[in-house]
Amino acid sequence: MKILNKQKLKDLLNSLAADATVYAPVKQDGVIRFQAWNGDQEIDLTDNALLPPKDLLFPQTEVMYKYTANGMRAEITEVAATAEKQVIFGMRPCDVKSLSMMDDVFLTKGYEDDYYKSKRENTVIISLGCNEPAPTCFCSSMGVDMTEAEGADVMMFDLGDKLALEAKTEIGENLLASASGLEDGSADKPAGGQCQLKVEPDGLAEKLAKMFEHPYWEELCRKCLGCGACTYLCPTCHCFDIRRKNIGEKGFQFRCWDSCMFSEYTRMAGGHNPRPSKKERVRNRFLHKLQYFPERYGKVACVGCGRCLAKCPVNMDITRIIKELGEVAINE
Amino acid sequence: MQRLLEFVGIDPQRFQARWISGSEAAKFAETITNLTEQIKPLGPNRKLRDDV
Amino acid sequence: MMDLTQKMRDKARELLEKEEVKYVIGWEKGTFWYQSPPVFISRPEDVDKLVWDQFCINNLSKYLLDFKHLEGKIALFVKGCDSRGINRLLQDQQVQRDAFIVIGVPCPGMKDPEKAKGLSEDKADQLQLAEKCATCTTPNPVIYDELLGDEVAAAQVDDVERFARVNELEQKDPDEKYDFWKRQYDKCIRCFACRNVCPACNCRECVFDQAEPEWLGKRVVSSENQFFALTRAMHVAGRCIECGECERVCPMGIPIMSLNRKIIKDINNLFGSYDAGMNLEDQPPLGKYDVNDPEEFM
Repeated sequence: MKILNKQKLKDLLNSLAADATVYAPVKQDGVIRFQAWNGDQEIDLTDNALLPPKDLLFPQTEVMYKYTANGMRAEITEVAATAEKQVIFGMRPCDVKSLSMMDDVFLTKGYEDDYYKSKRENTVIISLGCNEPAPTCFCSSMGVDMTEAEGADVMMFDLGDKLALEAKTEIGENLLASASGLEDGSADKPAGGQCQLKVEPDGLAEKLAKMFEHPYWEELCRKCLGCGACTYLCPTCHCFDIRRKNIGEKGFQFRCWDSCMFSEYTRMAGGHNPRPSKKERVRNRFLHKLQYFPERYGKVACVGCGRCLAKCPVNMDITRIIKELGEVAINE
Repeated sequence: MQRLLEFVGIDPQRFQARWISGSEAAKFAETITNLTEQIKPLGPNRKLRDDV
Repeated sequence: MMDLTQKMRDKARELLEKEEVKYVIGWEKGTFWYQSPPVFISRPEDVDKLVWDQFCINNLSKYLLDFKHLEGKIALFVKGCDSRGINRLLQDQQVQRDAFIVIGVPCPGMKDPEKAKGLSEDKADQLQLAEKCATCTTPNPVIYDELLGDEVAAAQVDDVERFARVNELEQKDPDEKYDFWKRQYDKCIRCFACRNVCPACNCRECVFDQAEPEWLGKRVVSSENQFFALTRAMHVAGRCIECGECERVCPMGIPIMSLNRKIIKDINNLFGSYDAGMNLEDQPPLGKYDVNDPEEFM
């Protein structure tokens, strides 16, 4: 185990930044986000970042290839480059767990997404355990261990004025061996905090399979504004759209996040929309997380980070919804 | 609109709003010529743009 | 406030029992003690969900659009700012006045739920007013069928206070202004919460949702984000009722009201003082023509 005095945090990040881009939680203009370390930012390890670091593997906007039109033919001039090495520092166990779902989507079932894969393979994760979960956290109900992030290369613990770092993989060991500011030492692993919110999602997928036409959705959707805040702050939401941008003869194809809460998400070329109102969209969001994803990949697509319920302008609370879905009666 | 663009930091010399009807070709040409002359020395605008 | 809660419940029960309305829209207690989100009551036995406390911050007027095609009436509770939203929708001819019943509730100002996070409930008294409420000039509803409770005294908010953030930004030089707004809108994730909550954003199909022609590119980059910001600000120009919901709901904390207030300030200077949504008679200055309008672009 290595110990880092927090005053030497900059030394550590600088040494990591020598041969990789380091992303760390930085508070800027009022929000904590993962930003590329430039040697002089204020690292904020108090609360989890408002935006999950998913955009480091699956950017909100990502150019796929560029082209030049030449009469009736188009020539592809540049394909997105292979990703460079990156280190994500201070990723919370919930967000680390979300990567297992992103991996399912982008790397399994017979198709590997090159853009994602290239970034994923070049990413080293230093996870920070949680001592004090926020009131909106419910990760322990979603199978997250606050002190042990499965999939992290290094596990880190906050000891007050010090951080303890423990390598979990060979890559993590090599990383720590060459990093500055660390001293050998030992420390008791903090116990991890208690989530105030708890849910019981087991068995819900089977029940939901019979609830597509249930009147519950009609009632649930009323207060929803139909904004995409929940989906864009969610570490597991992964829907995207592919569009083109043309500037004269040149242009590029890009993909960008999309949200099932938006009206144009399922709108077809002829104008028909199979999800015409809030009801169908809200239903889809929760069925995707709680039924379709478990059916396809064997796990609920929620890690209990609580971002959606912390930021929803109308308090659409997934923990309450899971409870209510468990309780409502269904006519079989 | 002019005031709003100024408020977000666009140089007020770079834009104008004029009311020109379809029958006022000369006024249109004159306005554009004048604006172009004014803008050229300012160089390319880098604001509200992306580096693509 | 307890007293008003009871009056609200009684009123809602009466309306539902007599089948005068299909739904009553009000506020209920949310997940945490500092949240009172919207609730839709359709059965008399559910009226006890309704609450009136210092966190009923959501503007409910926009929900009327969801019930445009309902057979039967809706009743909704409105604070001062919400009631201006009702006038907005009526003036924009989005809703029929006889399709809903407005029950006014004088509002002492709401507390900031963001600031309450992490506090224990017994510290509720120490909370400050939400920013959008601190500069409110309309605590009492301006349109209603019935008013519950007694009117409260409006705070004296002068233009210096109201436009403080605008004035401060105006002092900056162009590059500083641009840098400020670029940083703010680089945070934008384009969730459209600001638009969706806004009573002035009531187009049947929003220009930002159109795919053909694609006015707003879907890339989340500086140029598109700023185009979105400026276009929306101009679209609600002269119609913004200053409820401040856009800024409150923004998950990224973008000071959207500074754009809206800048436009309001300019309109006041150019066309004379105008507060949107205060009544149905005064037309928005940018939606009417007057021979004495300034013509600086002719």
